[in-house]
Amino acid sequence: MKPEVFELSLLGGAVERRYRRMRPDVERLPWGTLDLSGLTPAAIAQGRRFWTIAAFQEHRSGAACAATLQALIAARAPVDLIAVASRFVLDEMTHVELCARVAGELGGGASISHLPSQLLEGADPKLPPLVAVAELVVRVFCVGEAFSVPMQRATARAATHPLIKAVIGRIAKDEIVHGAFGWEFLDWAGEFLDDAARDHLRGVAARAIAALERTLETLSVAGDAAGHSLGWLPRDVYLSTARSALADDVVAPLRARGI
Amino acid sequence: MNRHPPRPRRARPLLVAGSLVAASLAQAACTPATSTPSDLQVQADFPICNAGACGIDLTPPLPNDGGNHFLFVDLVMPTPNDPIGNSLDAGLVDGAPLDGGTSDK
Repeated sequence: MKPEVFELSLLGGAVERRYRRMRPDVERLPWGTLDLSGLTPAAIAQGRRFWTIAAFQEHRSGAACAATLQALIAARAPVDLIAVASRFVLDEMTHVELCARVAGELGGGASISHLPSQLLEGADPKLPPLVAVAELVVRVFCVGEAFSVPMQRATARAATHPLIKAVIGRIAKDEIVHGAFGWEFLDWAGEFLDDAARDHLRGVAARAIAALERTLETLSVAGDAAGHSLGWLPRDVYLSTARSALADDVVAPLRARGI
Repeated sequence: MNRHPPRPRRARPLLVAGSLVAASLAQAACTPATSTPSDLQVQADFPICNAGACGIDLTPPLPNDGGNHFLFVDLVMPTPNDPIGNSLDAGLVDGAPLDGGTSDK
């Protein structure tokens, strides 16, 4: 399969109006206020790249939430738990739009090629339905989303520009619910998970955490200090916040649940 | 007979990659030792320096690139060890990285 350029669109008309009614908060943000006059061209270019990649990450999170939702249904998880999770795809698509629009305010997206068929790593199809969904929940929510909550909060606190602060704050608010979902799932599913399933989930969590640790250096942004106002933490702050987040918001609650 | 056939609708762009604005930014940010300004001007739609030094090292394949002169493509994709949606594993999709793998990933 050939890589495809990551570009996005909105359909408009009645469909967009319905979408706006579902998430009216998006249009209330202070769009059009980003002042680039004090920034170097390199910082702006870095900002475009940062926000394009952020949009892509949210796009992947949307795919991951959709896969988890399907697995929850297949496992006949409690209906209210599934219903709560059904909102997450909308949240992630909203985040995609937010990040893409910030990139647009900086002059447009950077070019990212990707393989749409490899947006996410699914659960092993040979696993029983409950263990399969538990694998996805541990990887996507208990590690990924739980990690991103304190990171987004810290970034929102550090942001100075009203638009950037509002966008990251909006994403952070949604992520709090996403971050809690993994623990809510495990607190329900725990009694149905035998020793073999827990061993499997421990391995899943360990691999996900190790992969995240390996990518921290990649995810941190170096470069123009002025660019930090465009939405990312200085590298040293990012790394120290990330290590605390992994220890306190991922590893500790997993251990508390025997994983 | 359908008296109200669906009208084709064209979606409007939300995120567009690699604009001319990026070309000027890339040229401004590239270091003289690694950039190729004349080629950048020719390839204005897909600005890139040949060692990723400009920071805009994510680009689709170039029409007359041959995969050698410019960075071919910087692919952001999940890997088996990559947690979904929260980490990033960016690398070249074809061939070895031109700078030995130390470019901005």
